[in-house]
Amino acid sequence: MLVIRRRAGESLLIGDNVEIEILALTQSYVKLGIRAPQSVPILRKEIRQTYDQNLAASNLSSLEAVSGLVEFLRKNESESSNKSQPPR
Amino acid sequence: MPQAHTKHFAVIDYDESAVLTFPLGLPAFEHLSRFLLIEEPSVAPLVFLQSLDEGAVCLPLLPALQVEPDYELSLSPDDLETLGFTASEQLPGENALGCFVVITAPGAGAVTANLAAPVVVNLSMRLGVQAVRFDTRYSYRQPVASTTEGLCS
Repeated sequence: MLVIRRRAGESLLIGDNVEIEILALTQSYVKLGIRAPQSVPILRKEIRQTYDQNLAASNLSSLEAVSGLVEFLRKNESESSNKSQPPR
Repeated sequence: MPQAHTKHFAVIDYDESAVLTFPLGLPAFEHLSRFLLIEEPSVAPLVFLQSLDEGAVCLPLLPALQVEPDYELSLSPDDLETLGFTASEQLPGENALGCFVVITAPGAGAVTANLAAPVVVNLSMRLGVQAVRFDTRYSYRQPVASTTEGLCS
């Protein structure tokens, strides 16, 4: 990974068309300004991750694929409800 | 009564008042806004978020608290607005919201839940949003079971 040290107000260029400017710094976050052509998609990484997870989740081919999970969750539930019952 | 062509439950009747509107869609499904939450006893506690616009889009969900009993929801001002709450209003009580996580069950791999982006629903106004968290407190690939025993069928 290329590491560059920049101060607020400074910027850097990626290729011919993308500029990233450091707008502001606080202790907990950095505010970036990005100049890029419309054709360059810019996504927060966590949204990309959720995007991929949603696609994968929607690819579930049949309910059989989750029957094991359902069984496991029910077993877990009945076990924990058994535990909460007072001893006889 | 209108009918929905669902991915896993054939054709079902539904009531218009049960429709959930996701004004922004969901990541990867930004163009879809109308969904049904299908609670089918044979697959409980799993529920399914079925798109009414595209029958092939159907996401398995679990209540967030079922996956993580101490789960703490964090909603941005934008998420709250999407859910129909304005900034001046009192924040929604717990009973007003449903909070689910998307379940991914790849072929033989571990079943995981996306705790980093819960699907939050305003139950009375029938509005929903997938609230992608800014923090890194929860994993987007949290194993659902601490053991994979019994998951491979």
